[in-house]
Amino acid sequence: MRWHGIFSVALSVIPVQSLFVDEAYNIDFHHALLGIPQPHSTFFHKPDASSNAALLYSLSDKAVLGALNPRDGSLVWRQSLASQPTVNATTSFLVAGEGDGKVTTAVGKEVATWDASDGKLVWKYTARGEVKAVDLQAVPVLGSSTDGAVQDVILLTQPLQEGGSYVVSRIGGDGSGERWRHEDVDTKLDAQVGIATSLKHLFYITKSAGLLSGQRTKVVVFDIITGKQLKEYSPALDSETVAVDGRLASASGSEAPLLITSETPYKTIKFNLLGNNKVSTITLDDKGEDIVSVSAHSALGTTAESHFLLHVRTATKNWAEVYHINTATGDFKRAYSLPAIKDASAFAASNNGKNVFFSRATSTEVSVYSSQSHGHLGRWPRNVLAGSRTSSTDPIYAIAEVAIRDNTNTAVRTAIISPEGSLYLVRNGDTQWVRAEMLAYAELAAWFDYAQVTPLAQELSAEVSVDPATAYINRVYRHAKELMHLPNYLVKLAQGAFGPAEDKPSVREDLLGSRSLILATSRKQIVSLSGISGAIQWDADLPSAISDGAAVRSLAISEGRVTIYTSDGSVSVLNATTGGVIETKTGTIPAARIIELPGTPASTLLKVNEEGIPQVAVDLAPSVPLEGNVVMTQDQTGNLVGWTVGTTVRKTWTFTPTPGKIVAVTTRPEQDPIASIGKVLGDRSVLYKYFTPNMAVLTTMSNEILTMYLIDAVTGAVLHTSSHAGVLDSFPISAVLSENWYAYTFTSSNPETNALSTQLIISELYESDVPNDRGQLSAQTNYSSFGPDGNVKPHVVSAAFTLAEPMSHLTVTQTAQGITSRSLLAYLPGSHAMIAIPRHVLDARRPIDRDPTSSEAEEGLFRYTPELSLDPKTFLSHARDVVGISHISAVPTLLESTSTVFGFGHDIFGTQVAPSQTFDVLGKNFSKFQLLATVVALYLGVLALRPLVRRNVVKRGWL
Amino acid sequence: MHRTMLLLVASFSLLFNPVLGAQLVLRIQPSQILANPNSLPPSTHASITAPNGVVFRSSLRKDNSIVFDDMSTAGSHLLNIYTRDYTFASYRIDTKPDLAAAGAGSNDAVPILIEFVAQLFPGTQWSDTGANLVRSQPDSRSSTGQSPRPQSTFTIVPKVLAAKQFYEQRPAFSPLTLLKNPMILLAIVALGFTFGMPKLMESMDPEMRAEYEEMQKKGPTAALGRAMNGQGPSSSSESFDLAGYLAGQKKDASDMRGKR
Repeated sequence: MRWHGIFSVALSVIPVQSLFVDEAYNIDFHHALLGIPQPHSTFFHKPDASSNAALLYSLSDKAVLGALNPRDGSLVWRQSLASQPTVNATTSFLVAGEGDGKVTTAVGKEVATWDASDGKLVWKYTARGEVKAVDLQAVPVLGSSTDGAVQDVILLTQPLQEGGSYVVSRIGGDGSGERWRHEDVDTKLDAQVGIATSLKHLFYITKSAGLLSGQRTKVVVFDIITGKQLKEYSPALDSETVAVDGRLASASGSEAPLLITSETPYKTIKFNLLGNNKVSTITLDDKGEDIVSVSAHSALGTTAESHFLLHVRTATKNWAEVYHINTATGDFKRAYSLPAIKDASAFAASNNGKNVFFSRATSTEVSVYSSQSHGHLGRWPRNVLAGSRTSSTDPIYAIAEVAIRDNTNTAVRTAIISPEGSLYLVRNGDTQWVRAEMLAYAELAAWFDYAQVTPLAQELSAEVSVDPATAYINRVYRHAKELMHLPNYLVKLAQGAFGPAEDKPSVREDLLGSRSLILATSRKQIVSLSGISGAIQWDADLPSAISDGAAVRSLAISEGRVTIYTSDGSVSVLNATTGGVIETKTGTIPAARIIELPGTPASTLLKVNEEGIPQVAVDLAPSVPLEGNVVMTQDQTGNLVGWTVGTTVRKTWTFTPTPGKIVAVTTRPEQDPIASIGKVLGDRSVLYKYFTPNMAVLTTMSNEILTMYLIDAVTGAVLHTSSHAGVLDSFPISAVLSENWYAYTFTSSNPETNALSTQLIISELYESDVPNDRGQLSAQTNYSSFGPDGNVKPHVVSAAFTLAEPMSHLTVTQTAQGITSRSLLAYLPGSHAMIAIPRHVLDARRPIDRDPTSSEAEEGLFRYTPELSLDPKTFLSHARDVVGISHISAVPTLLESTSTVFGFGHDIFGTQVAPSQTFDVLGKNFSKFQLLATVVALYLGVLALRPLVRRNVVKRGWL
Repeated sequence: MHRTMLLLVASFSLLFNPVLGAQLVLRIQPSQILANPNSLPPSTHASITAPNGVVFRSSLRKDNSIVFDDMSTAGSHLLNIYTRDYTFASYRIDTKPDLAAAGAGSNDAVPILIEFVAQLFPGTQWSDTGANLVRSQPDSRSSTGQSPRPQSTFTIVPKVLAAKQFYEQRPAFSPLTLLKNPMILLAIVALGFTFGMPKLMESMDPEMRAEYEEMQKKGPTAALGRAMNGQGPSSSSESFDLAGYLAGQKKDASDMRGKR
């Protein structure tokens, strides 16, 4: 008996999982993402005047600003301009001055300047009133920054409500705030507005819908220094603008900013050199096809020549026309045109002092032209990065930087954004690196286990289905074939035995099992990542048959196939190993939610419509669900409805929280193995855990009161309720339910003490409060929720902890058998970290206000403290800056001790967790040399003792 | 009660008048733990949680300060500072509207004043704070002399509590750790018995030895002692022979042994 005690004490003093130095950066992976770069706010820029190497700055459409090292694509620094990365961020802008070492952004009503080399804030300006930024332009600096000239910016804000005024203001680059402002009260909210700068003037352009004609364009010219209105004119331009980035004006910041307009079928293009009343018209040759789009590209430098390029696209061809502007007269001259080719092309303009270069990137080559003549300065075939995926390399946007050495050698670096959302950097023709920015849009994930599709598993299943004789022959044949691999295997084994313990992902994959993570993004893409190394295995677009507005609702993986359910009711099936499309079925019944249930002959799909009524999806897979499935849905009024789904779908209960509304419903993880039905106490008595597979935790909010209901999902009976006042709904409220416990976290402002704190509550459920007693359930062998014992309530023990910072997205680690103790996984949005809190620290039975008794200590309980310190050693993401995690997923590995953890939302972070340490695998501290040395030493010892023993034996023989 | 009244009045007034936010500056200065504040990464930021749940967030500036320009809410606030490698103290910041400056009924902006700033200690009551950092200044109106005067701009030098240690070093091999293993300790004790006992017995006087042997036959450790001395079980029914079982010895086989 005592022995057992020693053992359990030994278990409880085992140090909890923490990260070893040699594991960090080896067992985890992290994709630090920006989101897809916006073409108008992505550029090469030198971080300071003295440096030679430029960085690639980008402000993504998730309002994340970052500086990338063009050498290897690594992140130099990153700032999330909205406090968290946001999908469909409102318009955001990024400008840089020339050589002053700063970049300036505008998002919402905030203008901020950041140090270009280290990403720290220099100053911030908040626009007055309820407004948002709709344009930001740098004021060209006359003279260099070393002369003390500061880089000012011009901000254009739009009122959020009708009745406000548009404001153009010049913001001082030294952080002094507004220098001057101009208010425009006449322009309506639906107008298109924009600003452009030239060396001396600021142009404020508005396009309003006229009463009779289509659109009326008005240009107001200001003196850029004083803000004095100089002139106002209305050029006869009434069609759409064709600037590349959706702005009104092109070539802002240069000597000759332009207004270029056209409209379908893009045969005539109208130009206006801003400040000049003249409007020129050019007719485009359509080369026998309908022109689909026209976009203008021009260099941004103040000293650059006034040349620009029009990129013309038809259904099958891409070409460009280059024009020169006479800045004195406002005339335009066509200089040359670049050949029409079939490949998708992206053009980029860049300048090197006075010289303007146009770069053209296609999927097969990169070429550079001078703006003066059509002869190319350089032309390189594009090489794919060795070992990279060969998915689409078509460019949709390109940003180029041209360098000319010794007047003859031309080199070009092109950043290319591909349609699937990757950012490539191509140096001349060679791809230097690829960043998979589409991962920042991941919304759903599912794990795929390669063991499902290994040839062995398939062969074994084939052997089962054939007659024994054939199966036997098959098996002999297979074994003979396997013998051929024996020499190789032996060599590998020998290498493994004598070589150093390797920590390559492939080695760990053998140990932990190879799984990949299949992600569905909000951009209707499916991406497969290795679960161990985080490398992208394949990516695929959803089949075009899926309608545009459809969102991915559910991902299911079975037998090596990924089944994707979309909101329009369609199903697509992809090969989980290659990403190839196997089939697409267009559904007819749209679904708000799709639930997969066990059924015959195959699993059944349940579609839940907008009213919260589930229906068996007869349009997709005609199978009948097995009896006894319990499904919960939320109806339009916010009530929770319980359904029993068998051959028929029956409503069993309705739950209406009073008062308030249901914010979230948490159920146990799909696989939640239970190793022990009781908790062994220090005195060897057992506290029986309360289990039911059909539990759910409801989070309800009403007027700052958070109420948590633990319900039996079969009957809808409430098992336990807890309530907290003053809960702030602007903070994350998250809950997790596993085994016989649930935990939740929230941030509250205590109505009595005004205390602001984040709390984590843990509740453990037991069958009774007395050890060795199963309460009312003791006599039962069968249990029914509807029976007389159905309303047996669990004995609940709870403890609350305060946390130093808010916490979100609680999840629990998963292991194959559930023997390993569990850890609570969570994301810390303040610290940008993922954390694993050991479950035994969160024990609700920790003694309060006294030291544990010896039997409690034996059980591993220690004194309760209200503060739960978040030990940095339990940070899974250690020193990594993991931003915007909105989902955490854990999955078992082949090792019982280890669970694979993966977080996504914006960044992608994955690692392995061993909550009770890796007890089932030799650790890194195991030294093969030491073992061999011990064996040799023992052998030598035996040899040394041999004469001694022999002498003894002989002596004994004589005695 | 007085406090709630004040807050009520404050919120009533704030409903109609625009407010002029208070400014809070955090100036991070070198300390023993954080020798060089310039080494802080650009992701360093601070957040102030207002009592109504609004969060003001601000990033680290080039001059190692974090500035909140517009704290426009009245009441008790929580300030957290986040940086990758260090833990900073949290602070409680109380603000109140300066109703006297605005004047009742006028449409002037109501300035918000910072009246209380103090370090918070984790796991304690909201009222158990450190000293109020809002500088004490002699107040002409107060007869008692010293009382903290609310400020519209306030600077804190936040306290660095610790450097974050993310990693654990692997324990290096040492023979001592091997000795601490309970199994090894048990083996050593057993060895001691095996070799020490016969010597001890020899030095005992015969009477005591007889008594001891008698006791040993009855005692629970008899089988263990025999097993350790390699004598095997005296009778198979008496107790379970662990060593024999592990060696694959069957009961009848052990009986056979005698005949061999």
